[in-house]
Amino acid sequence: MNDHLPGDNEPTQRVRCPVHGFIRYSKNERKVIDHWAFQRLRHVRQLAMEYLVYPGGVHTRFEHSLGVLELATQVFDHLSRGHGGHRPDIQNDLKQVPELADDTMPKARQLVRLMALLHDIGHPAFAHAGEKGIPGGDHEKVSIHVIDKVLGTLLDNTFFPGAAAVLVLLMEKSPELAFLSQIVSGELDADRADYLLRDSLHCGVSYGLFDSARLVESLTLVQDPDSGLLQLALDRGGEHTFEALILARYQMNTQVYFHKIRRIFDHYLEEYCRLWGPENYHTLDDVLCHDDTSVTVEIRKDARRDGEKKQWASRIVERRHHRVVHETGDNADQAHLQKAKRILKRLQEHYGTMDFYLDDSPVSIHKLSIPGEQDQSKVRNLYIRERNGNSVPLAYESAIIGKIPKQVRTVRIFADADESTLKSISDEVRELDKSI
Amino acid sequence: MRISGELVYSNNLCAAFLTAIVKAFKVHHQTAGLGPAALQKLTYFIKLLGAPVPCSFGIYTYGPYSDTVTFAIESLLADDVIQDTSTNPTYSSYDLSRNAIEILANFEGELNPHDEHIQKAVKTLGAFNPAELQLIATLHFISQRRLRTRATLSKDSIIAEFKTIKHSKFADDQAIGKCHDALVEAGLISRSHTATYHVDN
Repeated sequence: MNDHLPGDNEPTQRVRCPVHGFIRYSKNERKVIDHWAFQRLRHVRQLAMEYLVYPGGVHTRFEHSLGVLELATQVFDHLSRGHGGHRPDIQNDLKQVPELADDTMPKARQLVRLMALLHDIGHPAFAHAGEKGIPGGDHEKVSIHVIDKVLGTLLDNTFFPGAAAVLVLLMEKSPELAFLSQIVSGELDADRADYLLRDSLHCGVSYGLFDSARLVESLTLVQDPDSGLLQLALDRGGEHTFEALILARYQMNTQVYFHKIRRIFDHYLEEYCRLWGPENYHTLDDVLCHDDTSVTVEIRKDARRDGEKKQWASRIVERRHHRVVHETGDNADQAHLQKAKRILKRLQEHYGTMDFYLDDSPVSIHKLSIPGEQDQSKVRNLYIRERNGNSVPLAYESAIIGKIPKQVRTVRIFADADESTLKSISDEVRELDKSI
Repeated sequence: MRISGELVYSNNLCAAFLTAIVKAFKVHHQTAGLGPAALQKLTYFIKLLGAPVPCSFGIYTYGPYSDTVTFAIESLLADDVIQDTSTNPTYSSYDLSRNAIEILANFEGELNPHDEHIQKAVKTLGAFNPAELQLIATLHFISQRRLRTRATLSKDSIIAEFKTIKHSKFADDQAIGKCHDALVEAGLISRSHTATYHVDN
């Protein structure tokens, strides 16, 4: 699609990305990329302290944001081409938004690119693990604040009046702009597609791979029969690459993101940030004053000086961590949760002052309604558009999707024990596991 | 980490709000069942009314939904804060259980300022089934969009737009009207807006 806003919106700038090759952007977009708030993302790692498990996992939110920019643009351009560039169904949907009444498609394209660039702008130092220390406890609130208050004037003056306000609507996932926000954040989104590929590459694992080019080429739009709104869907033939995406998500969560060492260091970071945050994050703007580098300096100082933060800081600096003594499988249900709780109580009774930590890590893998599911559990349908124009729910056509768990939940009990005590605890847990 | 009391998985504000909603539901709708879909949607409306429930909702095919709420419900069940009293394996019906007192006491200070919203929304909207709550969520979205675009915000105009986007589903005017009135009653559409806001496009 060559339908850009005029002037400095031509994509004359470029940067090389290890995942997508050259990523192009305009001089106007460079004003956003070079803004100090966006440059801060160069120092916020994508995976916090995952590098303690996978040393290569030191890539940042900066390059991920550029990767999402590239993928989201590919999706938007594909949808625009596939729908004739100016198909009334897209335009009519978008024209409902007053700011998009004229120059609808170029403005919509620019908004998707900006949303992709800025979707992680509010991440604090150490991303999700650091959220416990920020006001409101939620990076999305900070992102919306940055777009509205920090970048708002720049966005409105550089792109078009009202750009920041519509971006806020997109970030808030307003149903009004459902299909645009789904391009960046949804079941088939550019965010997930990029981080799975990027994290896999940098961590050096073989999980997380799928054919992103095929996925983009398979995307289409259908009118949701229930809501009447446009939503992303797949053309017939794209279901297998989507299955690979969901499988990639399942495997990366179980093998990389929820690795036991990553989880215990996330716990230390959360506890450290819970203490450090209130001393340093007084307003949402304060979140932007810090990154992984500055907080790491603080952690190193706190590891050497007495105080409440020392216990967490010193564990991080010395890589001295609790060990797993019990863990459920990847699909812990209510019974598993209750059993782990009983085991923890017994261990605490038996080992007196020893420190145990129970880690509970639930995550959604997909939200698609699957055949045989109870009505009360249904969340959403993703449709396949048949060649004859009819739409059918993907999960009813795919032999794979219904077999992949919709969520993963792993519960682990960690103990702060030396090697010999650890062995006796593990033996006891094995017995408890059979008897409780 | 020492376990204090019985709350291992659910000692958090989101779980506390869900417990307060279940409690209010049992006060206002003693004989009705409250399953996960209705609990999701009631939480969504209470958040819209201003209660700081720490969870993020998306609008999906079957209405508003949050992963955080789903995981919190599982945690509440595991901690015996709520229990599923349904005898029908197809449906769940939640009621308070023995550890509800503990979580409600732990978060009393955060819950109390929003008790009025919880009671009002649960009393007014709790009588509707999940499909009707989905309809109510769509009506709310339409009213917000019309407010933003300064379009007519009368009951008739909202219902007319609803019927346009929902096609054949929910074709019964009276049922849609009842849902609209519940939105007004719950305070999710301002009475003054429906009465006076008639600026046409």
